[in-house]
Amino acid sequence: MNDLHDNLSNEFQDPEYRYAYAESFLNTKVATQIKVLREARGLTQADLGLLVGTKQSGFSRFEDVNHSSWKTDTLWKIARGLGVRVDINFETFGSLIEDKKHFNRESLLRPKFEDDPVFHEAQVPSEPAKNEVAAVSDQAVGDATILLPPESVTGLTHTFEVLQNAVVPAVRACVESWEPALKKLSKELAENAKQQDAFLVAMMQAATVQGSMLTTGVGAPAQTRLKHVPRQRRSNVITIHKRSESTQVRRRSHYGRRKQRTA
Amino acid sequence: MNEWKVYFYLGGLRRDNVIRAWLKAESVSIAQVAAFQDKIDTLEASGPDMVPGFISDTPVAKDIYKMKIKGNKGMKQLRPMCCRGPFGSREYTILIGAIEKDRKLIPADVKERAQDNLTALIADPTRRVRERLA
Repeated sequence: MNDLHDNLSNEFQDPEYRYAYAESFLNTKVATQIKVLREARGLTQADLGLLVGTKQSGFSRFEDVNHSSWKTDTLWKIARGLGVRVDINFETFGSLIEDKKHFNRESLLRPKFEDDPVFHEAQVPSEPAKNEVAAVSDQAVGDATILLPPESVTGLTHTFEVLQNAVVPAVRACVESWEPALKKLSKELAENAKQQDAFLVAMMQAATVQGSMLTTGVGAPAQTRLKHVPRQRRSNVITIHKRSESTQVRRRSHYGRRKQRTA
Repeated sequence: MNEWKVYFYLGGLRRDNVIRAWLKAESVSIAQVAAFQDKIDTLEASGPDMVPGFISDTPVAKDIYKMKIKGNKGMKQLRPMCCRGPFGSREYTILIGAIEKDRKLIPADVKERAQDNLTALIADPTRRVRERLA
């Protein structure tokens, strides 16, 4: 690395050269870190693309060291998908040599917010949340953050397929203990309508709508709302109702029963 | 200390660094030379996994891989051809320079010429050098 220092000391005398070299390394660093973090979370380019709002083919350019037209809003979208923040610094040219020296996979890894020891070292999942998950499966599972693409939240109505597509990549990033539980569940879901409902209820309980993001949380109100969705709709549709819409559904339901009774 | 090494093929009777000669002949800007050198430095220091998109994942011809140094608008799209090794598992040798224009490589026979250079290198391992581009 002393060789590199000696070589760059000479080459960097040309301002055009040193700025181009530094820009190239910055692009390399950003593209490589996205790839490293995505792989560490067990996500495919298509998975992360879904969270960012692009197709796999479009997302792949962000993992190319030749990509140079970065936009901060795109970086923030990617950061959201990876559970990290974006930081921008002005640095000396001298520090570039050290950066190159320590440029490896480990140096680029960052835990997502849920695994950040600064915030989650001493936290234990609350008892009600644990019990609710256990009700779905006998196997203990951890917390998850479920990110949905903003467009799928529009209207606050999700088909089961859309939610599942969004959940799968998030689950991939979770601890391995999720896998057997989900395998067991997917079998049961295909066979058992009651289990299917239970799964949907649990998903709703695990999810609290916060703008375009679904995060873990206690969701008793969501469960209450789901009760008012007709069973045949519950089998393949997850509907997150606003309170007013929920009331409308309930009223229609009562009206329907009254009408039946009258008949 | 470097784990990976990048060499340049020495061509012709005078055994010139074909890439340095090519960059000069094509009047490649100093900014693109710097970007090229940065990627080579990172490749040598950290390995090919740490420069995704720099070297093609699949060969463009037998044992020949395409390198990519994107140029901004108005700049040349540099696509040098390289091979892995051929004498060590943690090394690359850049065999010939090429430019991509309208999705076509210039010169058109660059893949064949890269293979010829690789054959010549295997026959004479002294036909390569490690040095800076600038």
